[in-house]
Amino acid sequence: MLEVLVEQRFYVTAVLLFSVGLAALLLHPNLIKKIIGLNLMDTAVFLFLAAMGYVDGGKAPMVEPGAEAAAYINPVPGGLVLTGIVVAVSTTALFLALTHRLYQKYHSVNLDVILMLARRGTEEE
Amino acid sequence: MKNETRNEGWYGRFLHWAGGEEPDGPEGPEDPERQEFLEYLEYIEAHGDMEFGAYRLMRYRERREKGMEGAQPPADRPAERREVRRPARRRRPGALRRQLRLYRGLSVCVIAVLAGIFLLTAAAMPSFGDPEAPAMNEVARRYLEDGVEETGAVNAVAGMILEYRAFDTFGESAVLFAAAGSTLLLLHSPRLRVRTFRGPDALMSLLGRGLLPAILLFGIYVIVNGHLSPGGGFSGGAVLGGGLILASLVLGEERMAQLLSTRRTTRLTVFCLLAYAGMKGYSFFTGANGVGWEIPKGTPGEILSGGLILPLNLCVGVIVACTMYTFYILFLGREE
Repeated sequence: MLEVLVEQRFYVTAVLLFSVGLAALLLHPNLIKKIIGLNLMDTAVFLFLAAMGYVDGGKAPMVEPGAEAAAYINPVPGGLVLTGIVVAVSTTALFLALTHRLYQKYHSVNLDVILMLARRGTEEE
Repeated sequence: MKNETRNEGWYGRFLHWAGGEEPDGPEGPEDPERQEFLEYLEYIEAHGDMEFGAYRLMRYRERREKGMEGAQPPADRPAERREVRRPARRRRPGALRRQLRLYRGLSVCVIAVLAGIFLLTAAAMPSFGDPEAPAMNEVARRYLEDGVEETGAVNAVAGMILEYRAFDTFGESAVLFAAAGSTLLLLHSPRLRVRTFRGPDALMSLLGRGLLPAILLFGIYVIVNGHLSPGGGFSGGAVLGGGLILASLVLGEERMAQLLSTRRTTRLTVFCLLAYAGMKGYSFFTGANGVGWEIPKGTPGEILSGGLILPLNLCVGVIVACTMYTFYILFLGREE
């Protein structure tokens, strides 16, 4: 069991990071910390993909003509991680902007407080 | 219940909200709206005719002046219609508190189950660094073995994302642009421009002015060498964007706003997206239909090689740099 954990340490780390991020996303009432949790989950996925692309003894895929494919690491996960990073940055910026607007309206980044104030607001209208 | 919980700060109000407003239903003996309507009937009998809304407003103001707790502004609907309409949801006290506890418990369970499944999967994955892993299939092998010949780019990742999967990268750039656009819509407020810029301190100014040319040059190098070395439009664009943010810190935001306003970055981004779409549309169209007007691939390893990869990298770099800088300026609260 322990050998497997040590051998697959990158995957295990990715799983742990993902769980921590998911816990922060689900359990923290603070919106900023929810966004940080989401970013942790993104990072876990990137680590997982990058670890999957590695080949023992492989070099970075700057291919010299006529070389064998086995001499390089897998370039496909690299491209996927690139896509993932771009989407992560975009969603993070959008979430932060939305949080900023919520803060301007309710003067709080605590989701429970915001929900309570929003409910009171609709009742008093 | 109302008077007890009003004094307990936001958490008490939250629990009060969670418990629901009225434990006895709308037909119960203590329905305050019905009570108020009866009072209103007595009032107009004594003081003459008056609209119910005006009466409620008057009562509300009276209660406010006395500082009575539980003063609520009047609803604008007449009471007769409110009495018929039942509220959609009516919770018992503590219902939401129980729901929250349930939610937390369920969340922990879900996380634990997911983590367990993932750990079992990780243990069953092909071992780390295995050259025979299923991920290293014929697609990756094709990119590595024939990529240089087919794309002209030494960097297999650049050849993959800008030649084989170029429309995927176009979508990514469009996602960045969409995020920048929606952030602009959400945070755009010209009223926030009252903050004065005091100028950078001496250390920031000295280090920034020293580092800035090197950072910008490195960003351009990473973009332009994207098909020859690790890097490309995305990483080089991020470096350039960092350089622009540093420039904004050193030169002051007014100066940078003159050089590179939000309007200008948006126009640059749109221009680069259109150029990307045009170039890639051209190469896919001519390639698929056998027209034959192909862009020459050049000798792999030279700077002018790889067909369209160099201009595409430039476009992506400009888009990423502009988006990073736009995010910074917007979250600073002063654009234009």
